Amino acid sequence: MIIPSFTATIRERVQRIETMPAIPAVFLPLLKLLSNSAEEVKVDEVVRLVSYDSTIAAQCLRVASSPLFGVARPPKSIKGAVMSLGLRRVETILLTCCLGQAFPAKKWVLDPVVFWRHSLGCAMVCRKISEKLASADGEKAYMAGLVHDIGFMVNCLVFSKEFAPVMERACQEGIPLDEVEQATMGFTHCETGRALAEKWKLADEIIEVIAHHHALEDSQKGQPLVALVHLSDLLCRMRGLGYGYYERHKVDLIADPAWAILLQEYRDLEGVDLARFTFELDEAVEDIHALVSTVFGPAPART
Amino acid sequence: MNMLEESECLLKGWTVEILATDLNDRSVETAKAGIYGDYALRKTSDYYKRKYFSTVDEKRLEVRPEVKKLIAFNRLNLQDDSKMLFMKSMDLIFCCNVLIYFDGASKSKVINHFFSNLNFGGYFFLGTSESLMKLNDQFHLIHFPGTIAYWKPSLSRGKL
Repeated sequence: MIIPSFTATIRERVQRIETMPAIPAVFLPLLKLLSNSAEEVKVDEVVRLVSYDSTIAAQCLRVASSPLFGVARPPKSIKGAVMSLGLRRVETILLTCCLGQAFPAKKWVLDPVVFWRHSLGCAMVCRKISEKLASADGEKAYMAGLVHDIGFMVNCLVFSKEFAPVMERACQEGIPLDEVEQATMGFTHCETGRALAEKWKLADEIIEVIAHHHALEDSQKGQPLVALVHLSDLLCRMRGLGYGYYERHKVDLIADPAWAILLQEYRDLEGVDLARFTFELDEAVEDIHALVSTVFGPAPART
Repeated sequence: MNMLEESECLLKGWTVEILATDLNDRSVETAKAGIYGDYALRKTSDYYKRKYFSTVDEKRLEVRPEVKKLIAFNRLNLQDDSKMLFMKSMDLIFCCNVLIYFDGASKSKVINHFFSNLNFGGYFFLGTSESLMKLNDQFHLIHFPGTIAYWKPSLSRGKL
């Protein structure tokens, strides 16, 4: 449980974020578009939005060429990317690029490269698991995975003094960050992330993921999506896509209550070979590292 | 070597016994000799090389006797039910890139033997890219940082 006075402090500090990093102009309108259903979104509207920002457009095309997105011929224009990858996927690529621009790699308490590797890794795992489940929305899952830990960005930006000893202790003792956050600060990245997500007016389901991916039992809605992100997060942390330190723990994903929640929604989860899935993830790790350098490396000068 | 490293810490007071087996007599003899070349030792740290190996020649190192004496080397056919049935009380079983040569039914049989050979709470390790999917549903797949293993649940069904 979080003490009410913390909630007020978090809200007050999150207000400062708005004026700090340079959030690309297309970012918030894109978020709004993403919360609509696919049929309601017009291709031209997305292309128009992106054409406002040539840096984002160029970066989006570089990302679309990554082996992780599996296109035979890299697209040359945003419209071409939409044709070969589909609108929903291009939207998630754009979102990835915008976040990279908004929060470029600076000296943070939590190394931004490590942070983005985890976030992007989790997004990929969410999408790959969804692809194995007939009725799951892979792109929504990707977005949920990408932003699930934005609370750490908030911690680094406006709670850096409080967060520094948390990071230090977690690294030294090899224990999960959220446990040290709770014990040391009295709140976690789930609460700080939720405050930012509410300010950005992200979709309710995504806010649920950000707020409850470490405590599923507190989640009221969007349970299968929260469960998916919870499992993907754990898996990434076990396969070298964690927070940059060795976590001394082991996990039984299939015995985790999140697995049962997901299985209830998607019966075909039963046929997923988790061991093979893990090896597939290992093969994608290098691609994820490369993609992070493309998206979240030092930003090119804006023209 | 890892066991010896931990003998004064995590494994203080433990008696460690290791059984190493292969179907082929010559492989067992080679393993007994404990002589390794550059390639086999490419991932072994200098610390381990200095502490647990002696030099044979320019390119080869031999495992020291204090390590060898922890290990019993035997020929074993994993499909020999009468022998497999009598191997009990194992805490850890490593079987890497062996089951890939077996057909589905033989794999299942060997894995069931491994399950009964293990103590409750024991672990079974397979090679990279191997899976027990559709072969055994009694083991729990456990993720450790950087590796996966199959766990025989404790009798109490307690936590990991």
